[in-house]
Amino acid sequence: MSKKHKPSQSKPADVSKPGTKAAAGSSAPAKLSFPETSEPTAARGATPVFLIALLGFILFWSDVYVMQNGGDLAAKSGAFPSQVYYPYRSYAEVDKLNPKAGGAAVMELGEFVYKGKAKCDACHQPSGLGTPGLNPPLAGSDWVLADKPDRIIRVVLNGLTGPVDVNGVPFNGTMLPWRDALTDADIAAVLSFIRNSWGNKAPLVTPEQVKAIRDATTDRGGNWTADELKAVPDK
Amino acid sequence: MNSGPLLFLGLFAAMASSFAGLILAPQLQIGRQPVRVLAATGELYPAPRPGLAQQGAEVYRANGCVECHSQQVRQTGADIELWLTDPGTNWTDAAKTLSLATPFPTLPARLLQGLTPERGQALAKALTDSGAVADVRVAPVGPDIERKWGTRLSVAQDYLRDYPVLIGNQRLGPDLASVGARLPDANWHLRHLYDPRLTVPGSMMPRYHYLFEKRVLQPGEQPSPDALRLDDDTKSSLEVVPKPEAHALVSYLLSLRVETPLFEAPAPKLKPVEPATNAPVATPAP
Repeated sequence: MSKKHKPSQSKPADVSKPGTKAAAGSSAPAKLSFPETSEPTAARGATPVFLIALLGFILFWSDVYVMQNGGDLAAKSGAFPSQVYYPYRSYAEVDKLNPKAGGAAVMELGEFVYKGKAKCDACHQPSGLGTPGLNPPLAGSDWVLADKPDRIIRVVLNGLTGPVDVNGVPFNGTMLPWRDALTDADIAAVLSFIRNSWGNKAPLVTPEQVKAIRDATTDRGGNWTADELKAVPDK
Repeated sequence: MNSGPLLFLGLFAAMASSFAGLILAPQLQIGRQPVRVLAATGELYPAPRPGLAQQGAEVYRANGCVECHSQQVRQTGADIELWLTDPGTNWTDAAKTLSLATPFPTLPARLLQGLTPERGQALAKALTDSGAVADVRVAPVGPDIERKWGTRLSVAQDYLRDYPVLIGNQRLGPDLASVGARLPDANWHLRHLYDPRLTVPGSMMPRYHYLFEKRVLQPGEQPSPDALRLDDDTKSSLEVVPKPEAHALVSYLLSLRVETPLFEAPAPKLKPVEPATNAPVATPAP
């Protein structure tokens, strides 16, 4: 007791010290007022074996998890591609589940190009019947239904101007070139669409066919004329 | 404190690794996805919400709907099915390839299920080559899909127009991710909000009757065309008219639909349904 009270009486500022304050209210103040004799220390000990085993297992599990759910680590879609969600495991698996450009998908894209993207229906009409004297019809057209689509691929790529006979009826208008606006897949789809709509029935056009003609006619500047196209075989 | 720096580093590493794993990695993986143009239709996905539905999202938020309703359809797997749309003229040839003999009463008909994608594609090609129209469909499966809460899983793309994302974490009520496709009737929703027990007996959802205004009808006065059609309204001299908040909330609910097939969420294509609009909620004339 006497040891504790002595400094606090001689130095009143010490009352605010936490040790002193706690001691004053406590039932055994003398013991608590002394500083602790030793500081607790942290020493390095041996890591328990089970902890090493656990860490090894976690490492193994996370490796397996990445292998199973990391998507195509080697493919160009990259690690953990954003298009892969559980329960699908890899980009390749998701890709496999998506419908490939078969008949129905091509017709759907073709209809979108015809009515939405390129607005072919503004001139050729949604019915495919065209405008008399200006824009030839597509329904039942001998140009559209030719065995080989080589002429109509050229028409879509570079456009057509001047007089043209369709099913023996003369037309004289101008069609714009679509070389830069539409991709090979778009042109193949829209041609497949017009060759299989409004009662038309002809083989689908593939993007490869379009690409071959696009590459062969890169130097061509202006629109085609009907006479030039007549030189292209369509059988 | 002999090991202060070590302790600090340990804590820092624990915090940093959880930040990296829970926030940074998902952000790098699926953050900043752009609104995409669907190749098949040329439409934006997700489509922007009509203004009324955008206001309804705030009503949804203000009334705490998210406390009891989630907006996330889960999926546990996918089944590959072979569907026939048109048997064509050479059906016997096609049937031989599959060793099937029965003609189908309704088309399109499901021929096989539980296929692998490769086998499905091969069979569809065999059928198509023989003149039939067949396709392979992905049928998502899972408890949520069995409950008709949606047709495919919800993915990050579906939430691009939501801020904040009201995904919810409790399912005291049914999931609402695709409620607009499931329950397209605006009048049903209004009655349900006014008193859930009117449309769903035994529902434990609270009434949101303060989104409606009760008016006393003067003798000889016709009820408002907008008034709710309750079963006893012929006898009553009261009419219940939805406030603008109720219309906004219903418009928001009808705009919730997770059904467009996406690359990352393959699903069978459904018939197009009329999208939600800003038009006033149609009420049958009394």
